[in-house]
Amino acid sequence: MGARSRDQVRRVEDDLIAEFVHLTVTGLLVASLLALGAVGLSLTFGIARFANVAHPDFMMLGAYTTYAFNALGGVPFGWAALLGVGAALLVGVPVARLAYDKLPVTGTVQLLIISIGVSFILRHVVLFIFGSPLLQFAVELQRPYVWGPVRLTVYQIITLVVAAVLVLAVHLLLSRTKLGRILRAIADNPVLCEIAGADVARARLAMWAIAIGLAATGGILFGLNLVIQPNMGWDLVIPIFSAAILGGIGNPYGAMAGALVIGLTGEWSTLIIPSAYKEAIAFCAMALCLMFRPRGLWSAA
Amino acid sequence: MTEYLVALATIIGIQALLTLGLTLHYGVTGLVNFGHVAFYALGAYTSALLTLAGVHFGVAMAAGVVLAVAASLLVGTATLRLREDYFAIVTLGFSELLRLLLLNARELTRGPLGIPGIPRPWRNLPGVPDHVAYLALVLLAVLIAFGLSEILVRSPLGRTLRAVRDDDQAAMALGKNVLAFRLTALGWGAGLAAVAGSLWAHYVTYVVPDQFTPEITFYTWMAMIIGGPGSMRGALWGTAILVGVLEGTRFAKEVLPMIDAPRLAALRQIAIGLGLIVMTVYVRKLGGRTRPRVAPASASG
Amino acid sequence: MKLNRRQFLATGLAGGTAALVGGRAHAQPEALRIGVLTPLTGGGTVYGTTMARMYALVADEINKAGGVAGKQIQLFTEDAQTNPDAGVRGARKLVDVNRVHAILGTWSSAVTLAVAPIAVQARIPHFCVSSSPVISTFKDDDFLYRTAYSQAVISTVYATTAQKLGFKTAALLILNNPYGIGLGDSFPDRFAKVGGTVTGKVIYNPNQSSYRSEIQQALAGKPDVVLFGGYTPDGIQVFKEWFQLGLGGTWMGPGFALDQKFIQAIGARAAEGIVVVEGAPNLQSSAYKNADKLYRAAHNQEADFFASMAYDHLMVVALSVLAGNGNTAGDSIKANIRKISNPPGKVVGSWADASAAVKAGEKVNYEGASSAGDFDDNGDVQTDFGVYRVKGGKWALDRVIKFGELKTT
Repeated sequence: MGARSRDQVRRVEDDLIAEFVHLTVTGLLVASLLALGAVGLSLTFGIARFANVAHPDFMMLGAYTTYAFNALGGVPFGWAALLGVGAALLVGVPVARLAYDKLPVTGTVQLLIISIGVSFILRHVVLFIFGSPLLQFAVELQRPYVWGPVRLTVYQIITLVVAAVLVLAVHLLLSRTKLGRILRAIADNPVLCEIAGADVARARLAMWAIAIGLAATGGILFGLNLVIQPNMGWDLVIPIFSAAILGGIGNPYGAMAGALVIGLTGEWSTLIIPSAYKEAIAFCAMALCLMFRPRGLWSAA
Repeated sequence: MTEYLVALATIIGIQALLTLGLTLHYGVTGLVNFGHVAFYALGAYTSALLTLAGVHFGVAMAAGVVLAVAASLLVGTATLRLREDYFAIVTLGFSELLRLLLLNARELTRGPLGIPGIPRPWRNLPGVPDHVAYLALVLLAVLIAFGLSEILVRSPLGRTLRAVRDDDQAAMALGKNVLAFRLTALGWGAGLAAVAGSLWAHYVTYVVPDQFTPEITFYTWMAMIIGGPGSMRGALWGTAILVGVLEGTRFAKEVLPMIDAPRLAALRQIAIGLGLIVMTVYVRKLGGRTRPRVAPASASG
Repeated sequence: MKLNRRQFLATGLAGGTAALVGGRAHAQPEALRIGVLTPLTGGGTVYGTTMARMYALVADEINKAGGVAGKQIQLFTEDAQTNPDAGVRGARKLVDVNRVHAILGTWSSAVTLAVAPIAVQARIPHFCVSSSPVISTFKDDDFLYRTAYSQAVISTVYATTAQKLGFKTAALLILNNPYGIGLGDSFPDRFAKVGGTVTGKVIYNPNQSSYRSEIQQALAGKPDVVLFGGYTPDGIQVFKEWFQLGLGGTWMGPGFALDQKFIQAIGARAAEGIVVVEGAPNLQSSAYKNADKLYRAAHNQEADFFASMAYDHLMVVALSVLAGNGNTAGDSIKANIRKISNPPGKVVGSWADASAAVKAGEKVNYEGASSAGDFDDNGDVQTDFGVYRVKGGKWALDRVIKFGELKTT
C-alpha cells in the first residue's frame, strides 16, 4: 500500500465502486425477471399448497405466444405482448385447472410430480410446434443511456418498471380487494374458508389467472432481454423457487425481496468468486436462509 | 439383439438400485427427496477416480458409498426439519450444486471434460462375454440390495420408519427420535444410489457432470410411482416398466414414419410427461396403498 | 389390484416384444445401415436437428441415384437428448438391434466420449462433431473421426489471426463445457508464443439470466480483442447484452457460432467488425454448394456448419463403402476413409461426381462441405482457415491461414 500513490488507490477505489454499481444494476434486472415468476409461484404455493415445477414454463409460454403475434403475425411488440399474455392465459389456465384442480389427486407430492409431467409436456409441445431455432422478437437492439457506471436501454428500464408495477398491483389486490381477502383466507385455512361459504373454485381460477399472467409477462421480458427457447422456463426453476422460498411462501412482497436477494447476491458474488459459481449462490442463499428461518426471511417467526 | 437385451437388463438393474433407494426414502419413510441424483453422482465419481488411481473396484465402490452416506447425513441434519415440499426443493438444489461443483472443481474431476477410460471389472472371464459378466455383477448387487431392503422394511426399524412416515407427531410422542430414524433411512437410500452410480460409471466407462442432471431423479420417481411407492418388489417392477417404456418409445418411429425425427423426439417426451401424470393418478386409484399421509402444511399458523 | 398390474405388465411386455421384432423385420440385409445419434431434445437441439435433417437429405439423394454399390442407405435416427446416458442407450439400440454399420453425429463431447467405447467395441466407424482435445488422444483403434476442429488446433489459429491483425492483448469469454474449457486451456499458451498477452479469462454457464457482469469482466482489462468461445444460442444472448451495454471492444470467434443466423438475430449493426474464424475452402467447395442446395430446397434455410459436417459424414462413409465395393464391415470402411478423403486424387464434392469417379477406378479426394475433409492419424480433419470480418451483415474474407503455416508457429 505504501508504495502506491494516493491517486492510484483512489482510481482502484473508483473502479471498484463503478463495478459494484454495474453489478447492482445487473442484479436488479435479473431480480425483476425472477420476481414476476416468483411472485406467482409464491401465490400458488401458498394457496394450492404444492410446488408447481411447471410454473416457470408458463413464462416460456408467454414468450412464445407473444413471439407468434409479434414476429409471425407482424403485430407491433407492445400489442403483441398484451395479446401474448391473453393467449398464455387462454392456454395456461385450462392446463393448470385440468392438471392441478380437476384430477382426482390431492397429495402435495403427487401434485408436484404431476407438475413435472406438465412441464415435460409444455416444453415439448412448444418444441414440436415452433421447432428448436432460437427466436427473437421483431425488435431492434437498443443503445443504452449512460449515467456514470449505470447503463440501461429503454427496454431494460421498461423491464424494471413493469416488474415493480405488477408486484405492487398484486400487493394491492391481495390487501385491498375482496378477492384478495378470500385468497389469503384460503391460504390460511382452506377448509374453514369453504365452510364459511367462500367460492373456493372461483378464487382458485383467479389465482391461476394471476399467477400465469405474471409468469407470462416475466417470460416476455426475459425474451426481450435475452432469447426465446423451449427450455428458458425450465432453466429458471431453481432461482425462481429459491426466491419464492426465501421470501416465505404465500407472501408476494417476500417473493420480490427473495428475487432481489438472489439477483443481487449472485451478481455481487462475482466480485469475489469466479462467475461460474454464480448460480450456486442462489441455492446457498436459500439453504442458509432455511436453516435459520425455516419459513422464509419475512415470516412472522 | 441378445446384446441389446443384456444392455437393457443392465440398465434396468442399475436403475432398480436407484429406485430401491428412493423407495426407502419416500415409500417407506416419507422423505420427499428430489436430489437423489447427487448420491448417484458421488458414487460414480468416487468410484471412477479411485479405480483410476489404482484402488480395487470393490474398495472404490465402498468409498463412494461411505461418501454418499456422509453427504446424505449432512444434508439431512441441516434440512430434514423442513416442510416436505421445502425439503424437495432443497434437495433438488443440492443435487444441482453438486453438479456445479463437479463441473468447476477441474483439478479433481476434470470438470466438463469428464473422466474417460474407467476400467470395467469382471472382464475377460473365461467363457463369459464381458457384457454378460457385468450383467451378472449388476444383478448380484440388485439381489443383495433387494434382500437387505426387504429385511430392513420387515424389521422393527422398518416398522418405526413407517410409523414416522404415517404420523411423526405420534412417533415423537412415543419417545422415538424421529430425526435419527429419518437420517437412517436417508443414509440407506443414499448408499444404494451410490452403488448404482459406481456400477453405471464402470459400465459406461466414462463420467461427466452432464450425466447427473435432475432428470435422473425424475425418472427414479417415475419408476417408483409406477411400481407403487412403499413396495420393494414394486420398485423392481416399476423400473422394468419405466425402462421398457422409455426404450420402447424408440421403436415408435417405425409405426409413425411420416413424422420427421426431431418432431418425433419431441412427441416422445410429451408421451413421457403424459405417462407420468396418468401413472400418478392411476397409482392413487389403486387404493392409495401405503401412500404416505399427506401432511397439510405443518408449517402453517 | 395385483392382477391389474400383472395384466398391465404383460401388455407392456407384449407390446415391447412386438416392437422389437418389428424393428428387426424392417432391417433388410442388403442395406447400408447408418445410425444417426444427434441431440433432438435438450441443449444441443438447435444443431442436432439440422444435422438429422441433412443426413436424411443426403441418404435420399444417394438412394435416388441407386444407392451405394447397389445398397440402399437405411437411416436409424435416435435422440441423444444432449445427455451421455441417453446417448449410450441410443447407441446400444443402434448397434445391437439395428446392427448399424456406422454411428454418425454425436454432438457434445460428453456424448461422444460416452458412445465411443460402444462403437469401438462393435468395430464400426463413429463420426462426431465434438471439439474436445481429449477426442484426439482417445484410444479408439482408429474408429473415431471428427469433422470439427480440435480446440488445440483452433487455438493456434486464433493466436495467429490475432497476431496478424495486430492484436497484442486478448481476453477470453468462454462457455463452461469441454469446448470452451479446451480453448481456455490452450489459447493463452499459443498466444504467448506469438508475443501476445491474455488479460483475463471469464467462464460462463449456459442459460444464465444475464451475462452483463461476465462481459464487463472480460472487457475490464481493456483487451484489443475478446475471444468468444461459445455457440450460437449463448452467443446471441452475450452479444445482445454486450451491444446494449455500449462498452465497445472487438470480438473474435468461431464461424459455427457467429454464423448468418447469429448475425440476423443480433442485427448487422451489432455484428459489424466481428472477426470470424472458419475452415477456409468450404463455402466455395462443390460439396458445400450441393449441401446448401439440398437444405434450402427442403427447409428453406442455408446449410450451417453442423449441417455441412453431417453432409460430410455420410458422404465419407458412403464413398468408403463404395471404394470397398460395397463392403459394409467396419474395418473395411475404416481402411478406405483416408483413401477417399485425403489427397492426392481427383477433387470431388457431390455424390454424382464422386461415385462416377470411384466407379471409373479413379483415386478421389473428397473435399467436404465443412472442411477439406482430410483426416490425420488421430482421425481429426486438417484444413486451411479463413479469417472473415463482418461487414454490413455479411462475412467478408480478410485473409487465409494455411494449415501448414500453423505447424511452424
